[in-house]
Amino acid sequence: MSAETAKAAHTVEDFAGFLEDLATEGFVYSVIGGCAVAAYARMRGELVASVDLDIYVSQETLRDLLQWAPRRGARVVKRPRPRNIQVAFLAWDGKEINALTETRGLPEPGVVARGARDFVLSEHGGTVVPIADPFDILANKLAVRREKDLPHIDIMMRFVEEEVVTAFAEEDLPRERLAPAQRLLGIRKRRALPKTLAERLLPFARLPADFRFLVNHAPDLSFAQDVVSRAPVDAELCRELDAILASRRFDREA
Amino acid sequence: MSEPKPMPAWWAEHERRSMDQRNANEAAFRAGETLPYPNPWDVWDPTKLPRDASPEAYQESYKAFRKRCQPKPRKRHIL
Repeated sequence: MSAETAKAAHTVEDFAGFLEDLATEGFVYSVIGGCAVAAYARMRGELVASVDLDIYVSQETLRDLLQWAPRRGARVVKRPRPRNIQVAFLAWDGKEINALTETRGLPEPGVVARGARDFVLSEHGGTVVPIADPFDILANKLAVRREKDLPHIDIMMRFVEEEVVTAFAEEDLPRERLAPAQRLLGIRKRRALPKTLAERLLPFARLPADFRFLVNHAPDLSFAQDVVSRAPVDAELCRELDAILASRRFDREA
Repeated sequence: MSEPKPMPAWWAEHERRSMDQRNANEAAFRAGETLPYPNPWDVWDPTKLPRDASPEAYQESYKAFRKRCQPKPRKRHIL
């Protein structure tokens, strides 16, 4: 953080004016970092703040942004340098904005922007701010994993687990029911679901795909056996579940 | 760096057959005849246009396509 910016705690709403200008100018970006975590935390009634705003943009957007920002009252404090971490620091209204073009755990900025969610800032005239998808935020935090990221990882895990359970409970199409859980497994690079999450999903299992998924990603043998015992009586499904169960090696997957 | 894998034996035969079909289609199109090897997707695609369609027709076709295949709306949250 530069000396001229205050070490205060902020949320995305504190940057509403800047972000609204970005949208008006057509810049493609998404909010990541602490402010993004704070926005998702708010959805669950948790209060989190960040010392700065991180936006994730392409190299091309950053080049245009650095030319445009001084005309909108944002001072370019530091430009990205070759072979250094690719981030530019801006000072706007006494607050710090970091524009990153690379960060661990995230696909390229355009992909993140396409999957971002729209957050409507109701106290700022309905300004719409694209905030990176919660699974992307979690993947980023897990990959960076600094000391200060650990509480953010907990918050984002709680948020995405709620999405996993809600999809499993409420969606009708098998793919829609399982997609958030599959995504979480991909981010965590694990085959097995966390046990507490698996136990929350089991009561909502009703389709063959649900039972296959839960056996395939069961945290332990006893849970997998429980899933099999609760599956509907269907000879073909039973054979499939037995085959999946036989393929699991719980001692090696832990 | 490892050597690129050699193409399987059937590859050349498939490519020759595809090119023959493409050339036969092109010749039939120029002669104003029915294509001997029509693309089945062209029959099933209700937004398909002829090759000489105008830019306006392409625009209308795109609108029809967008109506049928709308992008999934972004998730929205209120703060």
